[in-house]
Amino acid sequence: MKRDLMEILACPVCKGELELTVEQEDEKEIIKGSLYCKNCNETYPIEDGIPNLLPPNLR
Amino acid sequence: MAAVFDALAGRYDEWYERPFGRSAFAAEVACLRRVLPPFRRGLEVGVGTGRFGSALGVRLGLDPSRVELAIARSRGIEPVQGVGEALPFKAEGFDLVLIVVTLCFVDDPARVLFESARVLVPGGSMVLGLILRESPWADFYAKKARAGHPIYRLARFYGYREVLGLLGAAGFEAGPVASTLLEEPQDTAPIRGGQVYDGFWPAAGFTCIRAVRRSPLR
Repeated sequence: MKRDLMEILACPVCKGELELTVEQEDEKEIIKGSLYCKNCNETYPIEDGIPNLLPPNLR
Repeated sequence: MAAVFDALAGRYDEWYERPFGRSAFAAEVACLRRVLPPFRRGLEVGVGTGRFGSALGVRLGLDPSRVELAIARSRGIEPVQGVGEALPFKAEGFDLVLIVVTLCFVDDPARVLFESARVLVPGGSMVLGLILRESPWADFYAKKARAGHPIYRLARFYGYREVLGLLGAAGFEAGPVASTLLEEPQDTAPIRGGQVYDGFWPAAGFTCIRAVRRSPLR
């Protein structure tokens, strides 16, 4: 996912801000990492460049 | 649901390359264009393999199926895995939400429409592409479902009035409507006409509705 996506992404449950952690990134996008919601204490993975923001009960 | 689309992604996508699928797709895109307003920041909910989004210039796509999202990405779509009932986006970030042949597959269409209203700016538009229950095409697909078709089996087609009711309840004002595929249902030969007609036509196989987000939401 591209970094500028962070401007519009939100937690699918509480719609709060997400904190980005990058594990792997190339010149275009983030390949691997995670998005953390502090309100929900929930971590959403980014794998193969695709953020998985399914609600936890559907993952 | 996502598991089915993961498993059948290739088969589903290939449909668009066959004589019927290719011609029907062109008519459907023309129909969507008839009601599509100019936009700057669009989101497609239920982007699937990205065919419609990429044809219409909607660059961001949400879908529960990772396999389909990977195909969508190859068509220039920025993919986000998620569901329409719980959109992972901030409020009022988009001026267009596109939902094509997706409402019939979601668990909770009312919630998908509420969420779409939430992420739209006031005055922003949602464009729906639908197979409606009144349509002879809905019967045609239902027959396929009864014969065991793995995708149509999961579809639930809504009536035109029902959709208008859901739109009103979610805070939308329904605007222009357009219809296409006004011909005998089939899925083997190229479609004959593919003309787009203004308004709702019960005989149409594909109907598009533009709905504008009221301000403020009720």
